[in-house]
Amino acid sequence: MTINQFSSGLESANFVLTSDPVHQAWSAIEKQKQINPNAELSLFSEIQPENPTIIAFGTPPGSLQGQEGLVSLSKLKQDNFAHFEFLCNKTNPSFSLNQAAIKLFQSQYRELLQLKEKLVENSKSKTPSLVIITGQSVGGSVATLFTLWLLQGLNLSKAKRPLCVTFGSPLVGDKHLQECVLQFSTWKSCFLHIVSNQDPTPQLFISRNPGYYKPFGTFLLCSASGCACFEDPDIILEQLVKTNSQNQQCHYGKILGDLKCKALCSVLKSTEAERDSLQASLITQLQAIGILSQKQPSTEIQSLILRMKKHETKLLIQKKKISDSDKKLNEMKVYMAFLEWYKKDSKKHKIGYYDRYRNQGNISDVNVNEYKKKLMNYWEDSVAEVENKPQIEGAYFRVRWLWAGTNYRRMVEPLNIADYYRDGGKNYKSDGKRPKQFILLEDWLTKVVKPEATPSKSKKETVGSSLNEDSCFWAHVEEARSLCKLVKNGSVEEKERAVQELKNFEADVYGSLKNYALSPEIFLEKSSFMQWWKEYKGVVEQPYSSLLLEFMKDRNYEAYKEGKF
Amino acid sequence: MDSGTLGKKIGISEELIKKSCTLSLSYRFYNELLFHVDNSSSDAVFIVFTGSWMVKEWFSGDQAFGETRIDSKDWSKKAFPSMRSIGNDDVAIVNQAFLKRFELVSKGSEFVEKVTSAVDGKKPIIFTGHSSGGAVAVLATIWFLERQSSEANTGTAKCVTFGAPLVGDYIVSHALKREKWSKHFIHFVKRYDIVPRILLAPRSSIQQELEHVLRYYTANGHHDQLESIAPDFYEKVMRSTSFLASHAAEKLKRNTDYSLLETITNFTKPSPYRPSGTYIFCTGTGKLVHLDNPEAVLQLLFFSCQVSHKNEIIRSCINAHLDYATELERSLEENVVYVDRLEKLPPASDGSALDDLAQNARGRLCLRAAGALEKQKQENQQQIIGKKATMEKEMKVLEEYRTFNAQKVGYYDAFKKQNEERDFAANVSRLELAGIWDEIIEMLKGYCLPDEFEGEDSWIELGTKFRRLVEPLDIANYYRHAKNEDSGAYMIKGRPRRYRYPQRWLEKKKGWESGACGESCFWAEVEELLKLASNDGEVNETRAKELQERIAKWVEQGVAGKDVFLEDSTFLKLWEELGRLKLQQESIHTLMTKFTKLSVS
Repeated sequence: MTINQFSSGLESANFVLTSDPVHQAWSAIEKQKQINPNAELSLFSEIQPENPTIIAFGTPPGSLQGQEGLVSLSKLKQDNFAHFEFLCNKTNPSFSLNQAAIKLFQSQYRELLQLKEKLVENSKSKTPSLVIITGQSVGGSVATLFTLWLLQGLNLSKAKRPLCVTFGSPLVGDKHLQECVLQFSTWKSCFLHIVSNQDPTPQLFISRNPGYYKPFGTFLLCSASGCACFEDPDIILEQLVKTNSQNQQCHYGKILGDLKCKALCSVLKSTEAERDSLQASLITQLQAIGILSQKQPSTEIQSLILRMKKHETKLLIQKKKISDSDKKLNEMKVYMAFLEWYKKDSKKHKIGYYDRYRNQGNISDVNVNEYKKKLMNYWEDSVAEVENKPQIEGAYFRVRWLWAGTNYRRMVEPLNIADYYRDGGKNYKSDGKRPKQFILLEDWLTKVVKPEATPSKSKKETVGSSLNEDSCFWAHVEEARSLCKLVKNGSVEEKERAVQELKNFEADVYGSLKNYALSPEIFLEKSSFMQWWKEYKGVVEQPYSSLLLEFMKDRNYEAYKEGKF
Repeated sequence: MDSGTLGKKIGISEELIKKSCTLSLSYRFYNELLFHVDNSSSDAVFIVFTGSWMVKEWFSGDQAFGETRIDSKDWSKKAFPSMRSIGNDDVAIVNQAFLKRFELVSKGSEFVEKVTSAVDGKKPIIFTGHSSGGAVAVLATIWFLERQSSEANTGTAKCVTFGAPLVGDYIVSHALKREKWSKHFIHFVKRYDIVPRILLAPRSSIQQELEHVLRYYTANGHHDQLESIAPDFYEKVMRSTSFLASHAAEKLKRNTDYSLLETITNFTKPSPYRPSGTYIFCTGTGKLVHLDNPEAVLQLLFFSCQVSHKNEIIRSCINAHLDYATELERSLEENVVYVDRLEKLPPASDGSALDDLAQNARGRLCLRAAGALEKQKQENQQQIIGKKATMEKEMKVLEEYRTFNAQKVGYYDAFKKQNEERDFAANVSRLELAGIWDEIIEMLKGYCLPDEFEGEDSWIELGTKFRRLVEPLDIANYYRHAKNEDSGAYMIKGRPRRYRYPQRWLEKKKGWESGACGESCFWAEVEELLKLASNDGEVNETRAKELQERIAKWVEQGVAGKDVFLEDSTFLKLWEELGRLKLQQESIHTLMTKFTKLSVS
């Protein structure tokens, strides 16, 4: 397959320039400066009430000075400010924010909270207004923080995403913040940062804290020769540092106007003889942002192009990976179908699939082992990915996926338990030997599904082909069997404890039966459960009566199988 | 790139093109006339559509770009049954004002009559028009092609337009290609003619200027105010054109799924209109450039109209619309440049006629990306064709499985019970096939296969065979796991796209109404009715009647298996319930006795 690959930086730039929001955002900033030049009383103003609603953040004078450092989340928490904790995830439990931006944010927290609530309320109305949040310089940094905070409150499966446009703003946080934001699949597409190569502000903090700050979102880099959009954080950082003009305030209105005009005009005929589409795309982008003239590129530029190429190729591979995961899912369905068959076949041999697999007496059991491994590998990755998703985004995505996961857990975990006890393991559940994927899958299910008081009609009818609801059932049986041994051979104290635990187990089993939560296959002649039952009857003191005893004596499991117990 | 005379390539002689042009231009200002039929030529009948010159005749309704669904009215729904994306079930969007104008044309008694007599006269028909007249000619041609039952009848009809605004969205272009009608449409566009770009701007942004411009055209070139509004008009139209073209090109070029553009399009919507058919750009230097890749045409609509020294050309951008005759007269003598294999286009100017239209590297890369997309679609199709052998193999397994069960338990019920190893093997085959078809459907959803795909008989046949063979197993699987309990009925919540799409293909091919080809999913209705009968003790009479009638019909036609009547089948359970409810149909009764020779009391 040939890949004719491109890069879309110039197209995005033209699209942005010819769209309305960028220009609306800039005129809002100009208005904001007129209304409240020093942004002293209020940091922000609502410039336009609806369609779109435009909020412009101002920059109080002096707010940049001596504030170039970063503040960690834990430091903020000590000061009782934990409003950005929602961004954290498993791999990035903390991050740092720029001092100047967070200080301004904190200083007007109440007003911002009010604004947030209002916008969230608006998003739920019948005709929600679109929202643009904007600011220049540090005002833009605060706008960025506020947008992140707002995103958390919105239900993005229903509400339209807000757009945050900043002009010449310094970066707001470190690489952990960037990674946290990227965990939300669509959030980064809400941020457009416009930066002129004549503007010294955006690089202010970076050069004084090299290696700490990291950008996220799309950057529209502008020069006298044109503009292009970039998304690769490393390339952006590199370009930001390169600006070395001392202009105080850049007039972005004029810059945008000129570029818009230029977009409609034909530039000179190109003499570029590059035949590779990606290379040619990247060269035109670098020409547009003014760091590459028509001459032969320097070695420095050549290495830059090489890195940009790598980045684009990486993106393409990621995109392909997403589409490949569907195919993988289908493969897993085939393995599950095989296990289902294995279960059925074992039943015919009067032994449940758990015990058949545990005994390893058959060639086909080897295949089962292989499928089990493949399934467990797949789900380990899949569970890890979901676990790393931030709570708010994960919850929505989980429900559809969780049913497949539950079915998998109930089918495969018994096999894992069989391996464990066959190899002489003990206390599967309590000794921390249970794989995390099963723990999480079970955990998530209990959060979504409320247990039923009585089993439904169809649950009874289909019990014959069902799986044990408690995927650790067989581990309990294994434990119960060793308890029986303990009753026989243990000390007096051990005996007493063992008998009590056995009685509890017995009661649990009966309760599960009442709820049709156990597969009737546990009653198969050669199953461990039936072994346990024999052993248990042998050790329990006589005379003994219990609900389960009645059930077994009356051979109620025959009726149970039919759903008629 | 290739060159040669135009006539051969597009199947219409230079003489007929010139005549179309002359007629189109001379009939553009007839207020009292909607169309004119010219029989003066011995080679063709010309049906010429007159132009409309009021803003409300370009933009009507309350949509930003004056658009409407082509099925928004009963007559148009019937007149344009093919103007949709079949599997995706998306209906084409067209300009409402032009559709309205064509409605007036087609409802006059004369039009159908004249077209019929032209067809009877065995001469080729040429639908033609200048400006908005060209847009109406496009709709008329589609209407004509829809009415012709076979390829033989459509072969000679042509649509030739000059400086026509765009009429429909990407689905029109997609559907024309699928029906293999694209080659019937030939659009001449002068490089600097602003009119073909006008509908890319929202009405609200250009309404005032457009009024002046249209008035200028009807007053035939004398209007004082034009000078002052021309630059603004040009800028607004071109800004919207750039907005749309860069939006399209970004999608062609990008390497990610989500981007900033999705967020921004919530705020500013690009125009829905897209080019369709074949375009011939007149470079203004006596050359003609022929393109039939709609994505590339869209890019050229922007790049070819970029100007370097503003004012002078801006005026001519408006004037260019009026004079197609001179330029054609000159250019038709020359060889035409055919642009194909765009993906190989060099990014630097190469001395060809295309240099005039797209000068800079950015423009040429956009054309290249448009070519690359087309090529990618072809490659995707090849990849799927490569899987045909696997599909055949797995379907054979299932066919044997079906034959095996036809006499005993029945295909559906055997699979539902999953008692034997061969049931398991059938399940694996089902999953293999499902995987391949899901991939196909996923590509169709994103328009990643050639537009012709859904119109190809071999795929429709394969899809139908697959659907009839495998869908019963999917239904069995659904109800075996009682998925209807937590998700809902199969037909509403569980039916995969891999069956919905092929069903729509067949219904489209046969010209039947939606739902007519439900023979692969009647088991779902059987299960639902059985559930109602055993849970509530009653069944809706019409539903029961309809299901029985349909099953009887399908079994008789041989598209559903006779094993539905076997003793242990799920249908028999329903049949008993229906007997209790006195809802049994005689037709089923007859068939049962016929096929199973069982005595049913």
